[in-house]
Amino acid sequence: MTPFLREGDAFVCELDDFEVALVASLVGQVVELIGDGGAEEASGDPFARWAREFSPPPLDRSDPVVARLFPDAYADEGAAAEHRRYSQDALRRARIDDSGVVLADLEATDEGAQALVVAGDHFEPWVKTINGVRLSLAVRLGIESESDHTALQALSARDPRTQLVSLYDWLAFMLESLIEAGETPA
Amino acid sequence: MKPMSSPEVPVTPASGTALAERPAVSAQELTPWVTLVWDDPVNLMSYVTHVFVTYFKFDRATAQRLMMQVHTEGKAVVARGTREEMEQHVNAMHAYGLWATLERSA
Repeated sequence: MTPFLREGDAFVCELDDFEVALVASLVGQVVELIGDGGAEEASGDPFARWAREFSPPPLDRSDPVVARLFPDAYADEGAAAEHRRYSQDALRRARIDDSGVVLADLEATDEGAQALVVAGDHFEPWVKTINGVRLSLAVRLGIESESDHTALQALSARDPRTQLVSLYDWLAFMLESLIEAGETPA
Repeated sequence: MKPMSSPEVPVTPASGTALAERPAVSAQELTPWVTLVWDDPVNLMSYVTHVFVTYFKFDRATAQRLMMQVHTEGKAVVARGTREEMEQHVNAMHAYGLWATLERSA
């Protein structure tokens, strides 16, 4: 990919076809994890859809990625659970909506044939979503400290985790490049 | 800090006696909650600064100072106020993927 550059109110970069597919796949995995049963929605049963909107299936908090994306607001477990009861659905919905914005922008590149254009009002959904993917990869890689990350970077190329580490670092480059472009004057 | 008026203390302009009997309400009791952002090895320094500038409208120098405090001391207080306000801030930080909690100010 080329670094993001500001063009007026938008942010533009070039991605290869496999990079578009990769980012879309990673974002899709997070949506699948925290989503509310998109596959069932395709069945077209309006009542099932209605029921789900009012009570989406509970998140699997035993999954450490879910726990990291929806952390406790209070040190006290009881207070945290109480807080979660009325705040979690909105957070979940926002993350899914932001992911939708990212996936649509990626789709618009026609598999990388066109430049990726992130409109000004898509900027926050993009940084939140890419950051969310990095958080989920970090959990899967077991990165709990900076030394964990350094140790992973030193792994031999034969280690199965090496590719995931490169991906994690590449997403850092992408995110940083977008933030830098955001800081340059229009 | 400019003290805030409390809705729990009715304004009774008539009597000085009532004023004297009213329990003292300190600024600390009125704004006893804080929002803490905790360090983690994933969120980029530029990203955390961006979040502080964008959400809290801090100037860049303040945002960077707080970001560095999170990074070097492990946490930083980024806001003080009512419990409801702090819950809103914590939700916003969680939406950005930052690790934040609220607690009663010590």
